[in-house]
Amino acid sequence: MHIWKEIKKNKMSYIFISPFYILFSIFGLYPLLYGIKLSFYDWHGIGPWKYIGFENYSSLFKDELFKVSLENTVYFWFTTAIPLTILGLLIAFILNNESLKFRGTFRTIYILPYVTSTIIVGIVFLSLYDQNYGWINLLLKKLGFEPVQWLTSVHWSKPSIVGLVLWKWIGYNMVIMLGGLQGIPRELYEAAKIDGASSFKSFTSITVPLMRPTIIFCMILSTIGTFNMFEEPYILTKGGPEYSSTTLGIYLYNTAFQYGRFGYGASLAIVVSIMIILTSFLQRAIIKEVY
Amino acid sequence: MYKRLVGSFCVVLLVLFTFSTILVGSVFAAEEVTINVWAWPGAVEEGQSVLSGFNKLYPNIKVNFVKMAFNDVHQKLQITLAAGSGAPDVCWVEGAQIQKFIQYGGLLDVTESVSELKKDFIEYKTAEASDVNGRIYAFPNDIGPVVLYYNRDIFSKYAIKPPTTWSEFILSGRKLKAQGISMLHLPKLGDSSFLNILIQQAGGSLFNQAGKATFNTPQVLEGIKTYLDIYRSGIGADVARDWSPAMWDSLRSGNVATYIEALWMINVFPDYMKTPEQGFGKWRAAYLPLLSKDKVTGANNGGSNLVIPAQTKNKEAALAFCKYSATSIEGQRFRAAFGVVPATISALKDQQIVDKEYSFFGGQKVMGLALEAARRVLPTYFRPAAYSEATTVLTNELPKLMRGEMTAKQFVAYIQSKFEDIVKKY
Repeated sequence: MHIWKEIKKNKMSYIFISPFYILFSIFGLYPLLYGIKLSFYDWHGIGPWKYIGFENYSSLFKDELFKVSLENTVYFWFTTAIPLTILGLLIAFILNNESLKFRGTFRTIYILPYVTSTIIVGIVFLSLYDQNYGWINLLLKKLGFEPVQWLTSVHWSKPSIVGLVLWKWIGYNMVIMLGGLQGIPRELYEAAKIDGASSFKSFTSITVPLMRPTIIFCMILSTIGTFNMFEEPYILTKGGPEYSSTTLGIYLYNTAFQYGRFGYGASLAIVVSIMIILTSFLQRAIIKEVY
Repeated sequence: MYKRLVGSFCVVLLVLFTFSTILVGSVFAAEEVTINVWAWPGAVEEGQSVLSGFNKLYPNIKVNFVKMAFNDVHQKLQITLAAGSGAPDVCWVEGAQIQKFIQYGGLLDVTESVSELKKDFIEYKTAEASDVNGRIYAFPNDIGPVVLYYNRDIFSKYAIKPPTTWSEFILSGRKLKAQGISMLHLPKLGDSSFLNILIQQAGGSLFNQAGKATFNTPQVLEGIKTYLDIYRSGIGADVARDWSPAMWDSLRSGNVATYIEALWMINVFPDYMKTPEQGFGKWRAAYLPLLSKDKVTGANNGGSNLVIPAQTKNKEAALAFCKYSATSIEGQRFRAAFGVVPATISALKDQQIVDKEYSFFGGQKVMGLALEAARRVLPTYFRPAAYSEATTVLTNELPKLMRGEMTAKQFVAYIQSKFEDIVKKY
């Protein structure tokens, strides 16, 4: 009764915020609940749904390709999410220095890859990485090295994708970190300088602790992005060769939309979502503990 | 009196006849029907090419084409069949996907309509559009018989004739390799598409029509052994047949002398080799090399069909359009002009189609190869719902065979068990 009274009292506020919740219910909540229900059924896109209980989930944990794609995704997390956060912070710290000339130009250059379409970037990197005609191998040949099978070798397929991801997303993390840095009072650095603190000491004792919320935010975003990673590996390698670059995103896409196994794909999507949530909580706890 | 009676009777008869004609005519004339046809770019134009003839026969049937991207056609068809509403009256469906749609249901059984015309359709095409009980669910539209495209200038320079068997192909390849030219694209990671062509030639199939895995068979083993013979002869270039810039550069520069693909490539080559310097006018087509001189078989890659969703409310009109579009000679001539190979024997014998000269191929009447190339294809290759996942597995496991980690026999047994696991999920 009390709640209804409150709602009635503030009805205009609720009316103004309702469009978001209505749209979210239709395009977010409903598909989510639909997906959870679908994960307990066997369905191939046409024909009746067949209830199979937890069979999709038990098959998932025995599925070799799920394990391989999870390993690949974890590899990408270590090689992209962590470096992107660290490099984003370092570059933002440098670009936040008022004595640096052409700061605006540098900031623009760093953000440009982020605003460029991933498809176009992927096509350009396909050419760069080409074994016979790519610029990288042509340069290596000129320097006397053997050309590398960037996209067709199980050893190099993942590092090649990491190269693209780091190039494309560093600017995005830099911008977020820059926003956080500009919230730190300048007086703290001045006081530390007066006390004889070096730049490194200022960075580790002032910048990093005060940037904790921003760092957590960046890490969580990078984690979500890595667990959903699809475009970059799909354009460069389609998840090959020999599944060496198949991510959870590619496996999910293939399962649901190429093979038409929607029930199994839904269970995979639910498991990936749970992993993202748990990993995010874990990161938050670790970073809070360390700083 | 008698004359008056006869006269009156004639007048009454005339009036009755007139009224009945008007009545019958009005029943047909009033029933104007519009059918919706979904197709991808290119296919829409094929459908539109038959409209003037179709509307002469069926003036009351209006055809509304909805053009959408190739993948969208199949995805939207799947969604609307699942939803039970919203599907078009007629839809173009790629040959590689037709059996998936047949397996899951939702398509109109058109056996009786197709059977009337079956004698004229290429045999493997109606097999592709049938279920295990022989019921047919699609009208064949076009086919993709595989041929050998070769650079005539390179072949002439080194006195090589188009090989008629894979053994001759390897010998010719070695001759070219000695000159620094590769005979074909054959990457170290393997080419599952080319492997499937050889498996088809040998009479094998990844699955049978009932959807059971049939990889561990003598026919598939023969296809794999031929593939390994070609690979191990060293005549291939380590470049994938993926239409990448590297692949096209290798053809344009003359580093690779042949390309093995379906006849619909007639339409594609000129887009990538536009000038004589790039190869325009230098290429020719020949029949796919045979496994042996006494085994005259071929392969198919591609083609499309016309399907009618069972939920259509305009069944008769849809059937009329499909029958006309699939068999009208003006439609098939239109297709052939763009390198889309008709699916009827009569079209593949039509002089206008057979005699058409293709300037990319130096005036060669390439479509003249189609009938014989199609006749060589065995109706034994099937692509059920599990096919897509199976080809992904084959592509990713093929490097093990290429590196010699398994023998051909071990490989077929290994892949067979993988395919059996996949089939259980469908």
